[in-house]
Amino acid sequence: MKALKLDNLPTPKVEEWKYTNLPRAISADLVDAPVQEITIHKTRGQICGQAEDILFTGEAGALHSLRLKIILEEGAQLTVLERHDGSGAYWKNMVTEIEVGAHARLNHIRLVEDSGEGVNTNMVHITQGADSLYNGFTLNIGGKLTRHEIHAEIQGQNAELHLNGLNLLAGQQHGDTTILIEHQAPHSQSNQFYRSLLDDNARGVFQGKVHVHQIAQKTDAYQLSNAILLSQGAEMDTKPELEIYADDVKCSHGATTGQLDEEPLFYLRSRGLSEKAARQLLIEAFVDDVVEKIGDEELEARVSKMCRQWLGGVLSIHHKGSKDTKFLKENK
Amino acid sequence: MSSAISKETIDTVNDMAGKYEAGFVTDIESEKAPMGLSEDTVRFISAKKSEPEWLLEWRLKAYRKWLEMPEPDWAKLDIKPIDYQASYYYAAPKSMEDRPQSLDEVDPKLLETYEKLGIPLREQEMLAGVAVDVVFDSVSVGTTFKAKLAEEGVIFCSISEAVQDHPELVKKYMGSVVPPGDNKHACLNSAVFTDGSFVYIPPGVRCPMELSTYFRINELNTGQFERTLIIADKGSYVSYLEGCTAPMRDENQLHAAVVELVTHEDAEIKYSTVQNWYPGDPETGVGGIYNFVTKRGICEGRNSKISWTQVETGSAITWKYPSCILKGDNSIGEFYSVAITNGRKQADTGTKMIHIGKNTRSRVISKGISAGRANNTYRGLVKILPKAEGARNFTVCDSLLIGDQCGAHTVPYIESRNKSASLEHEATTSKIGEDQMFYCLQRGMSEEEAIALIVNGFAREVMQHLPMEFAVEAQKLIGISLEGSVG
Repeated sequence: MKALKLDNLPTPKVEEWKYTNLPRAISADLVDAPVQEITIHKTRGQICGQAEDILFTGEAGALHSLRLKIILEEGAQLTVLERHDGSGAYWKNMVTEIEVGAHARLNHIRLVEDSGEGVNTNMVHITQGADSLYNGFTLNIGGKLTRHEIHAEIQGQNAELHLNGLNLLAGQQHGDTTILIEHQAPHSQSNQFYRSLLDDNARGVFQGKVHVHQIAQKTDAYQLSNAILLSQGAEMDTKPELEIYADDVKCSHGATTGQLDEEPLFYLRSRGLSEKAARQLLIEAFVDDVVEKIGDEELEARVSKMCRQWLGGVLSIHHKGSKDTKFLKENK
Repeated sequence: MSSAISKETIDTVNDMAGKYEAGFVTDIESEKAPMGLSEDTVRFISAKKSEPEWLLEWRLKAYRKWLEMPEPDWAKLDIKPIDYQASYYYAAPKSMEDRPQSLDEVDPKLLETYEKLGIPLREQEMLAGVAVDVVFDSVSVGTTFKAKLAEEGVIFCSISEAVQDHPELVKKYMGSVVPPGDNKHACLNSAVFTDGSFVYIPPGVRCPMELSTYFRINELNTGQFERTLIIADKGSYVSYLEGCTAPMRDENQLHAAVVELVTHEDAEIKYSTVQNWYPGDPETGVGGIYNFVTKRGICEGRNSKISWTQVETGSAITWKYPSCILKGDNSIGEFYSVAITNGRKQADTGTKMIHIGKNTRSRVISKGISAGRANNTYRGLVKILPKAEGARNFTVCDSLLIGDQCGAHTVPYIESRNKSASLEHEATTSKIGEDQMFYCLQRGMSEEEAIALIVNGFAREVMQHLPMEFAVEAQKLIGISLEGSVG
């Protein structure tokens, strides 16, 4: 595989989706690192109790061309833990190919902690056979710019696809999640559940599209994106799309952007919690709803700890008395 | 609601037997500009309307810009290349040459046309109710109730008259909401716009009656390019209705309109549309109107409000995004839409809500119904700018699919740059439930009656926002436009 030429990067105009500007994020003097290719192949009926743990580390000044291939044959079961870290400015340009055979089950957990100057672009292509399950989870707390693009094709009947994710971003970070799910067979189910917490001048992007082909009757597709903006400079852009050509389907999506609800906050305050504690509790709950989708206690605990750490840093800076508490104090 | 549709609607549906009712042609001699589009066409139109120099310059500038602009291609529409030279840009009934002063002087043939369409102008002049401006191809035929409205200080006339009588208002507001270079279709309209309505409501006046414009394309190969401008000054209120039809023809005809609304402090405009242009042949998709419309309102002052309600049942292609720019603090934008596509129709419609001022609110309710081999897309933008403290948006778009050959799509763009803003969006896609159908059928309704009933229920949230006079018509239209969608 030959790496991309840097001066040839696609501009937002070329890509027709205006939210991520690659040429601006990537520095021009990167040096090609050796191509890294990992293939995981599980044969028919192979059930793996032990998770595969893969770590991709970015090095300053490098252009990493990465390739990950996961093939599960019929009835195989596997958990893959894919971790990203690094230091300095670099670009990880990664292609992931995933084939989930009939009756196979794959848990795919991505923990992205790239360096604050690192750029991570990941194109994921998933194909699913009949009765298969793909359960994906992404925690994104790193990188100057990350783009996670998923194209999933559900080719077999009764397949189940779950894409869940958390984007916790601060500073000047930019996190882009773009999803295209194609239902090409009847009776399949897909779920997308993404939540974003955006602080400082961070920018979150969620574009999810569900395409139901005419043959894919009885499709059940759901899509939800919630975002909370923690500071005035943050921005969230959401574009949940439905493209539907079959009539006997259940497809819906929801999207919200805002700040913490005042009502639950008031409830907790009335029960004697400090405002800081109440806020923290609500934000933790916001995050945990997605973490719980991983479905593996050990991993959930690990991810939850990473989230708590991130939140601890953010919330301690943010706590200031709201107008209400000031009012109460002044009127005593 | 149910009693209103039951008997009457079903009868009407049966009577029509799936025909496009407004598809007749009025045989009337008309005067046209030479076919095709050039600077000369623009000059011809301007001269016909004895326009002042500044307006001609404005048109020519738009025309030159139009030549360079690309066609908008982002909508999910399959549009055959448009031959702009194969169309007439101005057509006026000969009898309108020397502007009739009152309805008595208007060619009876024209009045007959409108009577046939269910808009008896004379009757309406007698009975108090709605003031109507009717536009036939490129000219306004007549405006009713002018005198009564003038008592209140309300100006309601065709835009050509407004250019002559109120040039200062036209000059100030025209192009202020939709600049000529906004998009290719709006630009074309700016160059060759012919007629349309002009409304000005003075401060503190609540317009005593509903204002209405009826657009009719009659001539072959003629495009209609009307331009509507409504200004509600401080504390005023107006409700405005718009309806449209065209004869059945095998050629695609172009309708590129521009509507601009301006509300000042505490003012409110309610704008309702029932669009029933000829949709083309349901089997082959031949003919029909290309409906490329740019509608936009600006809430200029504090506490002002703009409300769009549309029922889109016709046109081969609908490309239309009535939008609100919420500039004044506490201003409100609303968009209620029912879009029905059947046969081989295509619709790409929605709204844009741009929140600029503090505590601005917007509400979007869109119901899309797709049947036959049609494609129906909701495309909407909600944008919260950094200064829009406390802005709120609520959006619901539901789609209903009838049959497995059609498509329903939802493409919302939601962009928030203020942390105190709150945005909610939800969308669903479903079909008519088997249990709903079963219930209706076992009560003795036919399949088509049942569908008309269920769809009317589905669209009810939007229909409620139509003025009375239109609500009944619109309900009937829904039934008619779904004819032949089952079986």
